[in-house]
Amino acid sequence: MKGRLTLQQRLVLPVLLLGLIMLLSNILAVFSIHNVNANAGVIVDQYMVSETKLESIRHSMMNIHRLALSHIVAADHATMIKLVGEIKEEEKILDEKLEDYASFVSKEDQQTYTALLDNYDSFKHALVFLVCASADSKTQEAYAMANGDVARYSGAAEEEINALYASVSAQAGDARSHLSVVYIISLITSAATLTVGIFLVAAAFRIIKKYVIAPIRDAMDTLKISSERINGVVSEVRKRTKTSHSQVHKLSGMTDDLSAAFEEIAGNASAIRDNASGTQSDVKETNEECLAITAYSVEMRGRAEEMEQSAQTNKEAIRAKTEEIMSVLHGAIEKSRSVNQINLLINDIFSISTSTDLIAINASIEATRAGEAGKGFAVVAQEIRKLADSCAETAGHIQEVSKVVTGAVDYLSESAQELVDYLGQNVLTQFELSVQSGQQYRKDASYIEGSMEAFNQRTDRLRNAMDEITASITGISEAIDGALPDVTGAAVSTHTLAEDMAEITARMDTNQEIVGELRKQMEVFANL
Amino acid sequence: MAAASLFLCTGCKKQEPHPAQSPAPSSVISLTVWGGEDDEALLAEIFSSFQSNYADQATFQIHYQPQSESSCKDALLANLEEGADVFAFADDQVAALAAAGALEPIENQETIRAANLSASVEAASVDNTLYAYPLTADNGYFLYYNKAYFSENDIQSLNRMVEIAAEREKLVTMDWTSAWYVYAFFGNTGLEVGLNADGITNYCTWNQTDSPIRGIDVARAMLEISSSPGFASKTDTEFLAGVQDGTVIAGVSGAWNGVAIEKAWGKNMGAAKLPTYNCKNQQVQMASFSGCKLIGVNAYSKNKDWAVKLAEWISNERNQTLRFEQRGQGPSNISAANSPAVQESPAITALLAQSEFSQLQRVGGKFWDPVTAFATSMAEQNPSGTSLQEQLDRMVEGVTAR
Repeated sequence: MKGRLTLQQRLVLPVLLLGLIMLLSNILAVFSIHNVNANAGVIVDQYMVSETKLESIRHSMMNIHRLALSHIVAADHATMIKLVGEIKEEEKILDEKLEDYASFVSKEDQQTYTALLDNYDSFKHALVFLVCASADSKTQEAYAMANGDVARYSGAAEEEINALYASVSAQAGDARSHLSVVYIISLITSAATLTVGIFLVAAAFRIIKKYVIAPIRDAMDTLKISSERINGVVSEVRKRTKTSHSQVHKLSGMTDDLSAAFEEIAGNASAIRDNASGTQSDVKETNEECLAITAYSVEMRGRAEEMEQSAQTNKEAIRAKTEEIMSVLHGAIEKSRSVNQINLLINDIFSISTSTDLIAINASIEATRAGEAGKGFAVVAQEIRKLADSCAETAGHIQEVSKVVTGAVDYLSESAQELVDYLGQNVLTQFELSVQSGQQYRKDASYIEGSMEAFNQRTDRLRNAMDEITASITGISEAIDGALPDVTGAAVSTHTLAEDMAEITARMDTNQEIVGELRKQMEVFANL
Repeated sequence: MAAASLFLCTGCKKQEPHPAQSPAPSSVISLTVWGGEDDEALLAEIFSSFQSNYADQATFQIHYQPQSESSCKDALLANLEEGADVFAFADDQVAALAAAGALEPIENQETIRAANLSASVEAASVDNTLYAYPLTADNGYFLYYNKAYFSENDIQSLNRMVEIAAEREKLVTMDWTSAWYVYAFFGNTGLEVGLNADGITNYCTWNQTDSPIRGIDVARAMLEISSSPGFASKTDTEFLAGVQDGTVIAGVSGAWNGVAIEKAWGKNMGAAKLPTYNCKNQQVQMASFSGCKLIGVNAYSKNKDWAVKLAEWISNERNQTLRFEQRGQGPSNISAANSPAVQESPAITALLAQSEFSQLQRVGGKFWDPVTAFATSMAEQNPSGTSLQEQLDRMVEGVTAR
């Protein structure tokens, strides 16, 4: 193909040529419009606006002048105040207008503009004098000022405004002439580009006809034949894929059932595994509880032995202590028997007292007999008798006390004996029963300990058995879980296969439609 | 005008930031102030405190120039743009100054209204718009007399006072060269003068011939008074000089002379409402013009913002109190006017007594010269010999001229 242009190149080349011409034409058009617009803009923005502003300045000057004259003829202060306010406001506006106009003043007009500003300034000063005279009822002075300085400076400013206006108008005329030239140049440029464009369109038409349309017509014939063949092939493929699609659809249903069954088995295995794990856990806990009970029964046996030992020791200690107390108590009771000696001594006192009393009575009788000589002796005998009576009375008291003491000792002796009997009969008997209970308790603890060891051994075996069962079920569950994705994958693959078959059938339908469309299109090109 | 100049200038002391509208302290603000001839010392003190107050914002050159408040308008309107930045003037000039654009409505009207007596606010307003700052509320006149010569009874009649003065070879004075004072003879006679609705021209019936008291009756009464050697027409300045040298023992003047008179007469100084005068064989109470002094700001001031501040400063409560203390002038500021010292002032008491017979001064510019001409003739015993009625007619013609 070297040295020959492709169809794409043959098509692009005239389009590029036309595009180039269009671009060039547009650039020239834009350039021309820009030129015209720039010149028109200068005329409008510079000169026309300048003229408008000058007119506005002129109008403000006249307005201020009019207001000042109105001030003179005003009949009252209220009107004057209103007018002077309006004058100041208008002056402020005019100040801004003149300042704004500075940017429109050309170099040639600068001197005129400066003169305008000077005259306007003088005009304002003259107005102040005019208004002051007017407000002060100096009407003649006010009129003189109005006809004098105010009129002179106002007229001068008016002339300068006219001069500026004329200058701006002249510049605007020049700009309009220039705009006409630019317009004519733009017209010529547009005509030239239009001519070149027409020539190039004709050339492009010939190129396309010769190098594009003719080859396409040949290609269309070839395409028509190929299209007929493709249509036949597509029809055959559609028929076969529809048959395959039915078979695959059935296969897809079977794999779905298989997948569902596997999922059910996996679910059951998982449930058994969960139950086995639960039982294993229960056995483990039972085993641990048995170990705890066994340990506790050992402790219980130890405590029973301690209790038996303690009861035995206490029993012996109580017995020895009881005997010791009884020995001491008997000794003390025996010693207390000496109280009985007091009775003997009291009897001796009674005997002495009686003898003394008799002696006293005798002495008294003898004293009476002795008469006066025995009076002193009678007194002594009397006293001795009193002493004997007192001794007898005291001995009586001692005898009563001795009886109380002897009674108490006897009572103590009886009570001690009752205590010894109680200790020997009840306390020691209770301790004997405690010893026997400790022995029985120790035997029971040993029995429980033996039973729990046997039970513990059985739970160990059960636990081992449950571990093995759980491991087996887990193995089964894992095997099912491993197989399940494959089965599910097979089902999904079968589905995908079914969808692919449906898609292929659909695409074949589309192919057939495309072939139909191609035929229509080729019929269009057949007219080239 | 012999201009005295007070120059105040202090250097800047601070370099702190300033309000957006305030110039740097290094900038020099030049202001010219017109005030009464006797106010120089007072104003110097006020300027000093103003400078101190704003020392951190600007440096000032404040020039004082003496200018009678009564003729301020004429001086100012003669060359408004070169006139004072701040000026004191009588309230009857406010309308003309506003009409000339010399005064513009002040900005903080409500504040000024609230701070000052309503009469002074009214006097400083045109059509309810405030154009100036009230400065005093005492711009009226009354009778000063020396108690050593007059009893309470004597001062009830001007004719009696003139007789006593003649007997003692002393003088009772009144300024008949000023129409302002001459109004006293016509004000309570039933004859009228005033401003027309235009606010410029006047109406006047002072030459009336068919009223209970005619113009010619008043003229004859004035001639009777001036014929006495105990009377002399003297200006305010001459009156004060006479008081000080002992030749004058009574006179008609205002509160502004109170301090000086008290200094001259001491405890013998008396102040009272104006007396009656004998007119057509009846005693007529002398009338008076009342009014206020105001502070104005020149609308063409080159430093208008500072001129406004200075005007506010001059007329504030503190400086009105100072003005009363130094010059005896009655404050328009409500707080200052209510102070015990002001309330006890003899001059202020006399002014209040006279206020019953006074009228707010509202006459046009054409009022003054014709009345002055007439009254001068009366003071000089009619030297031209022209008939009194003719003189009265001429006066009224001038007053009512357009």
